[in-house]
Amino acid sequence: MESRARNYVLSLIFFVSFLVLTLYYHFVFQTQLYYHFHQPIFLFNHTFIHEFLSYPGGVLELATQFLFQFYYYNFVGALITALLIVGIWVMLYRIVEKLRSSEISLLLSFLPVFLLLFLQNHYNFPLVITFKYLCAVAFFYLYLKAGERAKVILIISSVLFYYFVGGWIYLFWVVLGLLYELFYGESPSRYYFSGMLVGFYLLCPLILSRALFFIGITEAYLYIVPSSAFFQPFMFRLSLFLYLFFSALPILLPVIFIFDRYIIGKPANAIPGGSRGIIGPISMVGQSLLILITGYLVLRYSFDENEQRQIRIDYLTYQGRWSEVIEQAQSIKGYERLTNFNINRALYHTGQLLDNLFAIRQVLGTDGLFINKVIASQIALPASELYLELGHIKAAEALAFEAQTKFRYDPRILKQLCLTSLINEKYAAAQKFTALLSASLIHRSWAKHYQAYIDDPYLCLTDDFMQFKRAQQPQTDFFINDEHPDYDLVQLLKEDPDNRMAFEYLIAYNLLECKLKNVYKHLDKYKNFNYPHTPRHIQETLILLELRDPKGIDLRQYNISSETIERFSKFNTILMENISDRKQAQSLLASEFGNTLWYYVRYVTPLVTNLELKVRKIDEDLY
Amino acid sequence: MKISINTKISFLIGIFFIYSLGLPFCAKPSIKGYLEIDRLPNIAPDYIGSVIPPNIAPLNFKIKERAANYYVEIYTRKSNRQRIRLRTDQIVKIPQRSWRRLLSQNRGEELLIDIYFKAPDLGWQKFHTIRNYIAKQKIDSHLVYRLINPGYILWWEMGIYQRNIENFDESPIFTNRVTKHNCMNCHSFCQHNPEIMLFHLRGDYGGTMIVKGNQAQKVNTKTDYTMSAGVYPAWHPDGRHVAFSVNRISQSFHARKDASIYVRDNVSDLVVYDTETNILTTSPEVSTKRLENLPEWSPDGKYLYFCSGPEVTQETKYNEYRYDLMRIPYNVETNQWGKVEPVLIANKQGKSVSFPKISPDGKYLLFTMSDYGYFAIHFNSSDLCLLDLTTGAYRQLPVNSPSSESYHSWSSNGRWFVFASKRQDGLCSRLYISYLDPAGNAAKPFLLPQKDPEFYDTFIMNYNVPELITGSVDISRSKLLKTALGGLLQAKFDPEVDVDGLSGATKIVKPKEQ
Repeated sequence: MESRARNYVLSLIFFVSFLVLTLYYHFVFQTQLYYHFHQPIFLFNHTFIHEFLSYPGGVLELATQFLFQFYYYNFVGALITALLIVGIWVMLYRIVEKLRSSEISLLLSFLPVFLLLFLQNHYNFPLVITFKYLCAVAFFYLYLKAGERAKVILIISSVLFYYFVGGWIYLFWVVLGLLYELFYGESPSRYYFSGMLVGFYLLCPLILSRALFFIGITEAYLYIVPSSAFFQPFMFRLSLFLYLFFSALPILLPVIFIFDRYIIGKPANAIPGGSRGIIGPISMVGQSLLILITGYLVLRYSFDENEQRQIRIDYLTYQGRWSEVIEQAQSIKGYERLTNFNINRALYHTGQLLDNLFAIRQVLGTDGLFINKVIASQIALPASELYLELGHIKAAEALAFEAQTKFRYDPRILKQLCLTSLINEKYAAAQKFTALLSASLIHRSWAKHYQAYIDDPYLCLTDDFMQFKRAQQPQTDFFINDEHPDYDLVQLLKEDPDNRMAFEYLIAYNLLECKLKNVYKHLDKYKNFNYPHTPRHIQETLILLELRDPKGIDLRQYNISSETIERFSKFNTILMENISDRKQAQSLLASEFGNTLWYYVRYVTPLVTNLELKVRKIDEDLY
Repeated sequence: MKISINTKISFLIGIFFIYSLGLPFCAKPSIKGYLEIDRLPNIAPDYIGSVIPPNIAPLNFKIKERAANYYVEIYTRKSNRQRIRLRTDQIVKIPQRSWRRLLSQNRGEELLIDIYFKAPDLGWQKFHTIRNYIAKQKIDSHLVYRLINPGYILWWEMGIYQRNIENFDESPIFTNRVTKHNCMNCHSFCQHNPEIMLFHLRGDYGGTMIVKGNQAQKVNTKTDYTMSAGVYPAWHPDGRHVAFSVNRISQSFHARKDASIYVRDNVSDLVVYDTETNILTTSPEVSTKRLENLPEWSPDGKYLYFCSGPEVTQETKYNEYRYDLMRIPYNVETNQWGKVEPVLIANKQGKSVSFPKISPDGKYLLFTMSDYGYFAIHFNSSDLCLLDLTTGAYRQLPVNSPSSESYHSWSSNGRWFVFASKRQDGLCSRLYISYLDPAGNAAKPFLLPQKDPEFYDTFIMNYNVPELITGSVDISRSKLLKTALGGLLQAKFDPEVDVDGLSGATKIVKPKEQ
C-alpha cells in the first residue's frame, strides 16, 4: 500500500516536472529559437544518412537530427526537451534506487539533472549531448540489471554502443560500469568485468579508428560533438559545468556506497524498494519542493535573456518582421555585430535608416552595415540575405555558397541557393536544392512550391518577388567588391536608379565612414525617391558640411528643419563649453545627442575609437 | 528403370520451385508481342551511344518514362547466354556479376539494351534498342578525386577519395577531419602508379605529402627564393622529380548572372623538386615576369610542357590574360635546361590554353581551351581539345557541351580519358569518361556510374582533379596520419641557380591595386 502510494507520488512528481518543463521551454526558453539558432535538418537521403554512419557517434547524432527537426514547432520542441530531461531523471532515479534505495533517492538522482538544466538552458548547448547521456544511463541501467552472462554480452556488444555514441559517452559508460563493479560487485567476477570494460575502452577506439573509420586517435577516444559546434556561431565549450555534469553520477556511485557501508553501516541494496511507512511519500513531497526551488533558481539565473534577444532578433529578421526587430532592439544590452547588422536592415525596412541610424550604437561603423568584408562562415548567410534584398543577386549567391561549405544541409542556405538560382534562371541548379529539401519532412512543402517553378518556369514570371529581383540585378558586369561594398552600390544604382535600398545603404555607408562629401555627392539620386521630408541624418550632414564649407554646399533644395538647426546650435554650445574636457563633453552630449551624426563622428566612429574587428590570420598559400 | 508417377510429379514440382525462385541468372522469358515505339527511351544518366570499358561498373540508370511495369534486357548479339533480364521499376540496377561477365566476354561487341514498358490498359511496348559499344581495352581500375563544396573561399569538410570504377566502392585516402579541417589539394600520381603520389596540405599541418610505396614524408616546398609552396604538380616519369608551379593566386566574383568566378595568378613560375636530394631548382627560362604555370612532363621525361601567360599589368584587362602552350627541354640528371619553345600560341586566336596532359604514348596532348584565363572549370567557354604532337594540329573534341569542361587525365593505356564537366546543372562538376581511338577520335562520354542512378540529383559536392590509377592506394591511414601530424622536411633551394636571373621566384611581385 505504502509502496503504491509512493509510486503514485513519484509518478505525479515526474509528470508535474514534465509539465512544468514543457511550459518553461515553450514560453520562456522558446525552443523555436533554439531551432533557429541550430537549423537542424533530417533528410531521407542516402548520402545525408551515410555521412553520419561513417564515424563513431554519428548514429545518435542522426537520431538527434531527426528529433531536433521537430523543434521547428515550438511546443513540440518543448515537449521533446522536457521528455529527454525527465527521461534522464527517471533513469537516474531507477539507478540510484537499484544501488541503494533510500528516502532521498529522488534528490540524489536530481543532482546531474540540476546540472543538465543549467547546460540545456544555453542556446549553444548541443541537444545531442542530452540524448547521448540518456542513452548512456539507460545502457548502464541495463547493465545494472544484467546477470553475469548478460553482462558479458553487454560488454561485447558495447562495441556497437561505442559506434552509436562515440568515445566520450562510451568512456562515461565504462567509468560507470567500472565503479559499479568495484564498489558494488560482490563476486570475484567483478574484477573480470572491470578488466573487460577497461580493455574494451582501450581497444575498441584504437582498432576501429585504424581499421574502419578515418578519424584521429583523440576523436576515437574522446569524441563528443561535431567539431563545428566549437566554432562560430555556436562556440560550444567543454566547460566546468559540463565536466561536473558528467562527473555527477560517477561521483554518486562511490559516495552512496561509502555512505551506506561506513556511515550507516548497512550494505548497499539492503532495502531494495522496501517499506518506508508514511514517511516515504512525505519525504518525497519535501524533496520535490526542494527540487522545484533549485530547479527554478537554476533556470532563472542561468538563463541569458540578452542571448535570447539576439537570437530572437535574428529570427524575426529572417521572417521579415521588421517592426518587432526594432522593438526587441530597444532592450538589447551590450554590442553584438550580427545584431547590429540585423537592426540596420530593420531600420531600412521600417523606413528609418536615414533618420535613426545612429539611434543604434554603430561602434564598428560600416562593419556593422556590411559584415562580409572579412569572410567567415557564420556571417555568410546573413550577408547573402542582405545582398538579395539589395538586388545584388550574384553576391547573394556567392555568399550563400560560402555559408554552405560549413553548413552543408542548413535549410535556410539551401532555400537561399534555390531562390538565387531561380532568379538567375538556373533551373537545373535550383532543382538540386529543391530535391534535397523535399527529402525533409519540415521543408518539403516549401520545396514543392518552388519545384513547380522549376517544372514550369512561366510561374517565375507571375511571381512578383522573382520578377522584381530579376529587374534589380545588374546586367553589366563588374567584379564584386567585398572591401568596398559602396562601389557595388553605386553600380547597382547606375543600373536601377529606383533601387531605394541601394541608395539608403550607400548614404548610410558614407555616413558611417564619415565621408560626408560623398554623402552630398550621392544626394543627386535623392530626388528619385520622393521623401516626404529630408531624412534627419541628411539634414545633420548638410548642416555640418555647410559649417565647414559654406560655398560648396547648396542647401536650397533640401528642407532643413528649424528643430535640426536648433539642436545643432545646442550641440555646439555644449561642445564649446566643454572643449577642454572631452569626456565631460561626451557624457553631457550623450543623452540628448547620442542618436545624431554629430555625436557619432566625434565619439563613436571607429576612426576615433580605433575599434577593429578581430580577424584570424589566414595562410596565404591556399593553393 | 520405371519411374513412378509420384517421382515424376515431385521432380516437376522441384523444377518449378527452382524456376519460380527467380534466380537472376536463370533466363526469364522475353516479352513476345509488343508495340514498337519509334524513338529511343529517355533514361538518366544518358548511357546511349557511348563506348564503354569492359571493366566498368554497371551503368545503372533511371527510365524517365511513365508506365506501370518495365522490363529490361541487356545483351550482345554474340551470345544469348549472358543475356540479363530484369523486371524492374523505373530505377534499373543491373546485377554486378552478370554485368561483369557479359562485358568481359563480349569485348569489341555492341552492348544492346531493350526497354519494354506497359502502360495501364495497354499491352507491352518497346523503345528503340539502346546501343553502346564495349571496347576491347580496359580502363584503369581506380579513379582518385577530391570532393569539395561549391564554395570558393571558405572550406570545411573535404577529402581525397578513391573510387573503384569496376564496382561502386569509394573510400577516403585522406580527409581533413583528422587535420583540423585544413585545406588539401593537388593530388598527383607518377604515371598512374598508386604507389607514388603526392598531395598538399594547407593551413594547419601544411606541407606536401609525398608517398612512395608504404613510406610517406611531408615536405615544405616553400623556400626563401620561392614566392609560395609548390602548387600544381607534375611527376617526372622517373618517379623522383616533381615539377611544381609556384603562384600567388587571387580570385574575383562576377556580378553578372551568367559568369561566375575568375581565378588569376598575380605571379607564377616553375620549379622542379628532387625528392631524393630534397633540392628545389629552377631556371631563368621558367621564372620570368610572364606567368609560367601548369607543368606537364613528356612521357620520355625530356621536355617540360607548361602554360605561359603575359605579365600582370594594370593596363591588361582580366579577359585579356591568355596562356600559350610552351615547352622546355630539361635533363633531370644533369640539371640542364634548354630554351623555351612555343608549342601552341593560342593567344593569337584569342584563346587560352590550360591543363596540358600528354597521352602515355606521347602522341597526343589533351588540353582545355577557353576564352581567357586558366582556371577553366568556371568558364562555360572552356572545352577540351586534342593536339597531335606529331603534326602540331589541334581540334576541339566532340565531347564538349555548352557548360565547362575542364580537368582531364589519361588512362595508363592511353585509350581512355576522364574529365570534369558541369554540363548536368551548371553547378556541380561531375566526372565523364570517354574513349579515344588510336586515330584520335573521341567517343561520346558517359557519366561515372553510381549504384543509385539518382545519386547525382542530390549530391552537392564537386568532383575535382580526377586521376586514373592502375590500382588502389594502399598506404595505411595511420601512416598517412602520422606523417601529416608529424614533422616537416624543409626543401633546400638549389645553390647553383642564378638567382639574379630570376624575375619571379626571387621576388614576390606585388601588383598594384587593380
